[in-house]
Order: sequence, then structure tokens, then C-alpha cells
Amino acid sequence: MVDIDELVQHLCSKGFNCEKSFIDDSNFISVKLAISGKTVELIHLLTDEIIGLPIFLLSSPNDYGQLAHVSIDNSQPVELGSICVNDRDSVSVNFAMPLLAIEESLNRHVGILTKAITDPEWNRQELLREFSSNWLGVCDFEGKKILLTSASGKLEELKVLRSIINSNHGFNSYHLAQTGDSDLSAIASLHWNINKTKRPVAGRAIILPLVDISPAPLRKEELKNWYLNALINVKPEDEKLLYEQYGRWSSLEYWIIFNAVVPSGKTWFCLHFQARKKHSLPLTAEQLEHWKIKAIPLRLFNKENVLPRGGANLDLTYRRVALIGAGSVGGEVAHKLSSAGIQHLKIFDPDYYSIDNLYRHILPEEYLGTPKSYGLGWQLQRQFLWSQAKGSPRTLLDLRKRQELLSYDLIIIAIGSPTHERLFKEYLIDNDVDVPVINTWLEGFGVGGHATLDIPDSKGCLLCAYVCQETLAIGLNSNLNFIEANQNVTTNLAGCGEQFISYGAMCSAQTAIMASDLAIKYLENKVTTSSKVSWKGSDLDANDNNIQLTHRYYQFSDSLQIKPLYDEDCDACS
Amino acid sequence: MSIQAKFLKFHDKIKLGREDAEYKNAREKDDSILKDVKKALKEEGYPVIEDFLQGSQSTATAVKHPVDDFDIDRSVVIAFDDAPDDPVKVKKIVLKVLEDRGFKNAKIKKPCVTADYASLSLHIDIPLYREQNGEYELAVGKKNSKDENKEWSSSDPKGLRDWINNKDDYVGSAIDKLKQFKRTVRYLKRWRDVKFSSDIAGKVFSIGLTVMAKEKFKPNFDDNGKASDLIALQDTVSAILNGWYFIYQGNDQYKVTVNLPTSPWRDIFDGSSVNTGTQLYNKLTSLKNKLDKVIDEEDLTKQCKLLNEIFGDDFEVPSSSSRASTVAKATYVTAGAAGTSQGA
Repeated sequence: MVDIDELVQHLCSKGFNCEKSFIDDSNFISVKLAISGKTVELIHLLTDEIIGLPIFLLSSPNDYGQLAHVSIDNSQPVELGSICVNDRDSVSVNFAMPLLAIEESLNRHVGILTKAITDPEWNRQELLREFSSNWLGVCDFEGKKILLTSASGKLEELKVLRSIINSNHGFNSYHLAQTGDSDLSAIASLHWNINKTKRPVAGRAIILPLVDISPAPLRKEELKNWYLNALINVKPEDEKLLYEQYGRWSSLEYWIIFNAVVPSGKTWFCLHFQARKKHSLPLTAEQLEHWKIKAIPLRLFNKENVLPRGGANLDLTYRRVALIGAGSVGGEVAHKLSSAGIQHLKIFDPDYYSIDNLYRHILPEEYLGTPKSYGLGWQLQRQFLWSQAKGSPRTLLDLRKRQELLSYDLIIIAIGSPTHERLFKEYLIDNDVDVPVINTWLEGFGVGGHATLDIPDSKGCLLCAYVCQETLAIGLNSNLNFIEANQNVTTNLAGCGEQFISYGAMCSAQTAIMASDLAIKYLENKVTTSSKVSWKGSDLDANDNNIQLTHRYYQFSDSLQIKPLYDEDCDACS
Repeated sequence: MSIQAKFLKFHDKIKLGREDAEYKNAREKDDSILKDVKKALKEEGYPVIEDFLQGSQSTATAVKHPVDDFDIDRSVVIAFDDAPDDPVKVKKIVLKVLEDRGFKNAKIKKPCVTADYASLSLHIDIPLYREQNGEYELAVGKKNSKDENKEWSSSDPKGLRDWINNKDDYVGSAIDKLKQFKRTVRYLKRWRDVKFSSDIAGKVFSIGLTVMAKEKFKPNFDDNGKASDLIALQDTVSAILNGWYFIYQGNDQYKVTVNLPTSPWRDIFDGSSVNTGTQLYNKLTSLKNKLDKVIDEEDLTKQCKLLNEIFGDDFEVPSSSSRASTVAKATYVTAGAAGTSQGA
């Protein structure tokens, strides 16, 4: 722990009005400031170890009105304000020099307070920006949280289904409020509907958009007044419906789910009303007399809210992608594309999921015996609740149908079969199918994996990746390969038909992530020309098995970097 | 189309393989003569236990000569225990076979029996060996040599061939690098045949060029594995010039010396004149400088014009208006299938 006298001396030397104090076995220092003629006192409790930005608390926070980035801790005998100076995880603190760390933190606290006190408009905008956080400060966490599926936030009345008894995690632990505009996946809806029988209706909820809002209240006692003031900001066109139609249903419980635009985007929050007798929705001070009101946590569950938070891109929602191959690479590609936000994914593969696949495939064990494509579709819909992924047992060569192919924005081929892939490419050329195609594959022994992106009307095509670098004719093996052709690279444990290329799940995952990244960059218009990309792994296993590697392997140092695909000697391109 | 594609087209024009149509008559003669030689030796009590090709046909470095003959280097081996003490005795049997077949100028040279088949532009060399436990001895001596000039001389006829064909020193795509080396040798041989007068060209021995190129070969492939024969050739020629093969004699004169890398380890250019060494050094320097210019040139047609000056008309110059191939459909390599490492 830092020596308190040393700390006081240090801060004083920096111009702060600082003194030490002692309460209940705790050392602390007090720093007094003058901001806009007001005396402001900050308290710092000394800690044994500095593990984050040192904390200063604001004495008598209510004396300054509602301040942005200041939350009040009502649980202590003395009210103190907690000041948010930064996302604590985003600061690397010099714990080896505690005096400097405390001084730096104090300066940040003073800066925030000064801005909030001296600039009322900035203060209000910041209060609105952090509305959700402040709202949580007055929420009651003992009740059940609500999961809301609304996409638009328009005025709507809906039923609230109770959480499932004794469920403490997963969606079953939430009260559910499903709106009419939800577009959850078939599997997700099925899952939720099955549980509907176990979820009695708890009451009615009104989704209420507001044209404007005031900052969130600081205390729970202020909730009623805050609510009545909020009703002033109901859209004129919604007011009539609210007062004459939606509020007339008598119930013991009501939820009003608000949404409003604040500087940080659209914010959602919820009030819960409970009465001893059934009453219509309270819309006046008089009606509120019958109701107990509390703020409760709300979890919005729509694409616009969930997908960006997980790094997905809403713009990809409606792009149509065909994935051929649901093996270890294809399975991972499907997963990554879905996690990126692609809803319309059609997966083609005739294979069935078997025990042999378990350790390098993404599907869990319960899909054993099912077609891989169907299993993947179901699994993706289950995990990514807006996914419309669907399976099909057709093969790449079955897909040589022009009109069908033209319906896709992108075709991804992950079958590891150069013969079929080149046949398919010839079909695309012969039939003028101008759909971009990604081919991806890995090689055995962990030496690496590859992907090509063939964009029609762009320089470079799949066959550029097959130009034999020795003869300059189109070869039978890709020139991206790291393993020389015509070697025995398969392992045979049980005779004919049981050979397999030796690689692990990490190799397929690595290849799939790389190919998925290429796909997403193309769909996001960040890659606009035919491209290739490879990753290079270790040669240890290859050497142990006397596998000869190519010149490209030894020279390659551009793992995961997207490069032009065009080969000037590709006669298909010239 | 790349300059590499032009190099490969040039290589296809100059390479001479044993199965090539141009070599058909020579191959048939070789097979026929070998049959007669085996028969004659067997009848005399020296059954042939092995035969093999030597020279450029055995290392796939043969080129078509614009004017001169095709070569056949066919080695014939008899068992050590069957061999006569006098090595010339078996060479005379081979000589008789050649004479009986109508070769007018067949003769026994010190290391082999040789003859020309004028109507077919064919030159034949037949060295004879005896073998025991993998050790070979060459029948050395002329028809009328004294006993002290006749011997079974320790030799390693396969060692040189294996040394030239060795690819163990190449890391990654070793076969492709060996092929590039052999193309480089062929380019050098064609350059020699074009740039030297015929009398000097005959003294710039193919095996000398091959050994220098092998020892100093600098394979060149870009990061994607695409070969650049142009840069490989330039780098190799530069390395040869800096490789201590040329011994300065004063007054811008040089002697060339290149030792065989296998038994008998002799200098290939032993007895070669200063004139030969100087011409070789100067022309190699000129070749290197011209290749530098080709590398610096960005226009494909201009590159080909410079290379045409180096290698002659078999290196084609595209007309400036001609475009790259407009083949709509891809042409594939000639292999029916190839093993692949691809999976997913």
C-alpha cells in the first residue's frame, strides 16, 4: 500500500488541496476543489494493491444536481458519487508507480467533474447518452428480466409470458415478450413455441416509443413523476391508441417498454406496474395511486441489437450464399458466416454425420446419423436465432443449373475435390454463370490451407490457381498447394474407402476462418477483385512422414494476406 | 503471356529427347547396333551384362543442333570375370560389328569405339566397361596401342549421370528445380551452338558447360512457385563467371578449367587453348550483360527480340500487334491424373 503521507505530500506538490483522514480503520485522503465557485470534495480510499485506475468518490453528490458519469451509491450510510472516468479495462495502469497512477486518476476525475458542472448542455447530452446505464441504477433486480423481440419499436400491445419455473439460465429464465414483427428462425420459434405451454401469460406489455426523454431518474422514488412526464413525449399519433385502446385492458400487471433515440442510439427500458386488483393501464397521477411501480431490467432481443454486439453485420442479413461441403471446413465456414450475420445460407452435402467425424467437425454428437447439411442447418438456426440456414443432400455437380446458381450472391465450395471443382468451373464458363465463387481447401499434416475468390469480370479465376508453374498449362493440382503432387498423403486404417488425409480440427477451423473472412470481405465490398489467400503451418508432421513440400511453402510468408489471384499465363483468363 | 512462357516454348523447340520424332532414326540404329554388339560379344565369350546410356541423353540435357549430328553414347558392360586382360580385344569385336554394318570410318579411340552414320547425321560412341560388385573399369586403348597404353581403368560412368540428376540439394519443389537446371543447360548449349564458330563450339564441351551449370546453378522461382528461367540463367551465368573456372593469363586472356565431379576427376578442359578459354569467358560475360538488359526490359516483344539475338531464331519474337492466346477454354497438362493433397 502506498504511504498516505507520501501520497498527500505528492498531490500537494502537484497543486491539489489534499489532506489525510481516518474512518473505521480505513485510511483515506480528501481532495478539495473549486469548480464554478462550488467546493467539490473527492475521497480516495487507499487500497493494498493497485489493480485498476484508482477510484475517487464524490462527497455529497446530490448537491450538484444530476451529473453525467456520476452514479450515486444509496447503500452506504453516507451518500457518495461514483465517477466513471473510463472503461477501466481500457486503461493500463502503472501499478509500479502508485503515486503517478493516483495523480493521473485524480486528474481524470477532476476533468470529468469540471466538464459536467461547467457545461450544462454537454452534461444533459451525456446523461442521455448513458441513459441505459443510469436506468439500471434505479432498476429492481429481484424480479424477472424481460426478453423482448421487437424489431421496430413501434406502438404495440403484446402478451408477456412468464419465465419457466426453476429456470435460472438461458432464455427460459426470462419473461418473454414476443412482437409480431420478429423474424426469428424456424428452429428458434419452434423452440419457444414448445415452451409456450409451460409459460402462462403474466400480463400485458405496451411498447411505447417516445419522441424525447429526460435523463434517467437518480432515485427509485422519482420513478412515478418521471413516468408521468415521459407520457408528454408520446407521439401524437400514438396517444389516441394508447389512451383509448391499449390501456383499457384490466390486469394485475402491466409492463411499459419504452424506446427513444438518445445520442448513443435507440435506448430501451421498462417499467413494471403491479396492482392488488385489476385495473386498466395507469396513465394519470390519479390512476397511478392503485399501482406499485418499479423499473426492471429489459433485454432487447432483435437483430439490430444482438448482431452488432456480437460483431455481426446487419448488411449481410439478406445476402444469399450457397455453401457446398459440410465437412470439417464447410461446417466451420457455415458457422462463421452465420455468426457474421448471414441468414440465407443454403448448405449442400450428401454425406451423413458419423462417429469418425466427431473430433474435427463442428456438429455435436446428437447429430450422428443425420445428413451433415441438415444437421448444420438445424444447429445454426438453434444458435443464431435469425438464421435461415437450410440443408440439402445435393452435390456440387448436381448444382450445375444456371438459373439456380444465379440466385446466389456467392458460392463457397469446401469439398477438397479438385476434379469436381474444375468441372464445376468449366460449367460456369460454358454457361456464362457470373456468380462469384470461393474455393477453399486444406492440406494434410497441418502445412496449411487455401482459398480463392473468383469474381466474374475481374482479372483472375480459379484456373489461375491451377496454372502449373513448371509447364504453364492448367495443372491438376493447385499451384497454391504446399505439398508436392503425387505423394501418398492419406492414412489408411481400414482398407479401401477408409483412407483419410491427416489433419486436425485446428487446421480445418483455421482454413474456414480464412475462407469466411474472404467471403465476408467480398460481401461487404471490401474485396472487389479475384483473390487468393493461404495460411502456412508447421512442416514438422510432413517431415516426419517424408512428405515433400513445394517451393511456395518454403518461400511463403504472407499467411492470411489477401493477394491477387490473376496469373498472366492462365489461358482461361487471357 | 509471360516471358517464362516464351522460354518454355523455346525450350520445347530445342530439346532433344530419346522419344522425339527427330531422334527416331538414331534410336532405331542404336537399338539395332546394340543388338548386334551383344550378339557378337556373347559369341566371343563376353556376354553383355548391362548397357546404359551416357551423355546428354541420359540426363535429359540434349539439344537439337542446328547443323551437326545426333549423338549416341551407349555404354556396354561385360562381367569382370569374363573380361580379357587386353581391353582392346573386346573393343575390336565392337569395331568389327560396326564395320560389318557398313560404317566406313569406324575406329577405336582411346576411351571408346566410335563411328559416324553419315546418311542419318548420326555419331556413335560405344565405351566398354567391365564390372564387379558395382565397380566399373573402362576399356582404355587404341587398336594398335602398346601394352603399356592399354588398361582397364577405374571409372564411374553412372556417378556423373547421377550427380547431374541429383536433386537432393534443392529445397522445395525439387523436381521442378532440377527441370529448371536442365533447361538452363539446354539454353547454354544452344547459346554455344549459335554464338561460337563451329570449330570453337566443338571445344566448348557440353559436359563442361553442364558441370559448371550444375555446380553454380541458381534456381529461380517466385514466391508463388512460378519459375523464371530468365533470372535463373542470368544468376547461373553470373555465378559461373565468378566461379574460379577462368584463370587469368594476362592481357585479357583466360584458360578454362573444370574438373569432373566424379571419378576420374580430371579437368574436362585439359589441353584446351587460351583462345577457347578467352572466347568462352568473353561470350559468357556478353551473355550475362544481355540477360541483364532483358531483365530490365518491361516490354515482352522487346525482351524476345533481345533473346532472339542470344539464342537464334528458335526463340520466337511475337509480332508487336499479336495478343496473348485467346483460347476460350483452358488447356490442361498432359497427365491423366495426379495425386493431390487437397481436402476439406
